[in-house]
Amino acid sequence: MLLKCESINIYLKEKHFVRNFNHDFMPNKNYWITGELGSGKTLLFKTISGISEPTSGDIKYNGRSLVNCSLEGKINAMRSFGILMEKPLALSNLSLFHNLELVAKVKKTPIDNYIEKLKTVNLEHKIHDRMTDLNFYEQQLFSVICAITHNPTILIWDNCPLDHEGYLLETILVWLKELKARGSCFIFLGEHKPRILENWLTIELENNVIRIAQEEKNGAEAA
Amino acid sequence: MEIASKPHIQRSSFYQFLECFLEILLFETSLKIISRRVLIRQILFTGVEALGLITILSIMLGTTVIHFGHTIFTTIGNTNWIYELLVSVVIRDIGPIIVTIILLMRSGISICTELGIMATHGETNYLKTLGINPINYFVIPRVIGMVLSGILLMIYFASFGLLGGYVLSSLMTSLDFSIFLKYLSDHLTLMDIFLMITKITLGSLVISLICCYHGLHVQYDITEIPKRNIQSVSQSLLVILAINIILIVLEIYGG
Repeated sequence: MLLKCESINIYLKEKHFVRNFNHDFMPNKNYWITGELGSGKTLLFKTISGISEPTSGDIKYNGRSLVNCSLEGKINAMRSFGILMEKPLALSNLSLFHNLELVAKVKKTPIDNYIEKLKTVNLEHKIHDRMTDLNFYEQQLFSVICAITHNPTILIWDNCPLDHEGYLLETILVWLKELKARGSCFIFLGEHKPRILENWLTIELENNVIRIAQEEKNGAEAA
Repeated sequence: MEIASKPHIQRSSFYQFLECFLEILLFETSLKIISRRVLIRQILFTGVEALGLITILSIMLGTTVIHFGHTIFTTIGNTNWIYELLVSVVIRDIGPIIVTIILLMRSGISICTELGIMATHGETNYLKTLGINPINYFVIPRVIGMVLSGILLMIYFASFGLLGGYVLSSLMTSLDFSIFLKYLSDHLTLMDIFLMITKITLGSLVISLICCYHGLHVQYDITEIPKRNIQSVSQSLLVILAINIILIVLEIYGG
């Protein structure tokens, strides 16, 4: 397995949101983590993606703990992750180029690969602009480029807008398919089931009970 | 490589923030993603852009000390005390406090606001998704920039304060520059310079740490930022005064 969640419990302000979450995320699989508003999806997203730590339990990537590890161990492990938050983000005090420079340095990927992808979506002329100079569509594209150009083995996406923002679909879908062909594991979180790609294994968080459905073929590609 | 330590920005107390800062600064040598760009920008903003204000204040302070000193000490009959007063006010006791307060009012508040806005936008979380500890990227270059700028500004402040003092005293007594320097060096000791550097280093270190801490701990709303600014200013002022009092006490009892 790629990523193993062991007895994850998450409390927030004394409320128990995620109770005893155990799951092994396998390579080349698609996982959809869903649940109602307030069910703990975003908390689980933050925990899996290293933003926050679980109250108890452990997360292991290729057998190595991500919770009890050194900064160096964490940065090495996170190199294999591609993480996309609900809101497209980059450092606002840096230009797109300097943001890419930072990401390329951390992910140990040539910056040319990122610029190549920017060219495919006609964003290269904005490379010296800041994130706030872009419209939402361009910001989303830029975030996706930062998250997937290093070919992550795990792609985690909180509230992926691909379903309801059709205009993003075509370009990004091609990139996601390329990533899938490399055997990456996709973990998408959100209320709406992804219509892109196929074979989503549903993990439902509901009233502190975690239900894992059978793998199903529901994914008629929206494209 | 798996160590039990896990510095994390979510830890809430200032002592844990400090522990994490020191851990990264001292031990995580392979991981120092100190952004040169952030560091240079911090030195430019804190140091270079403050030069105008520092020049005016230092000359004003130097000339005021000489003017009043001259009036009082010539009445008493010991004009040499003017130099003692000049060293005490410009270099050792008041100068470092003035420079530290300027650093706090200009750069400290800016740091707290900038980091607060970045935190509410989720940029600290973004860094974490890259595996970078925000303290590593946001705090370390700002602290280094503030301390370096503080020391340089203090040297600049002292030089212009003394120069302003000389210009005024030469107008009143047509004093030769070499004689002024001689009298000054008679009253200026290495301990004075050591105290000046210590006060400004500790002051700028404390300001930058407190302001970064409050900026990064803005969590939910942009309206938290003014509250954090107030907290960082009041706490910084208290600590700066405490440092100065402790150093004065040590100076008195240490001889």
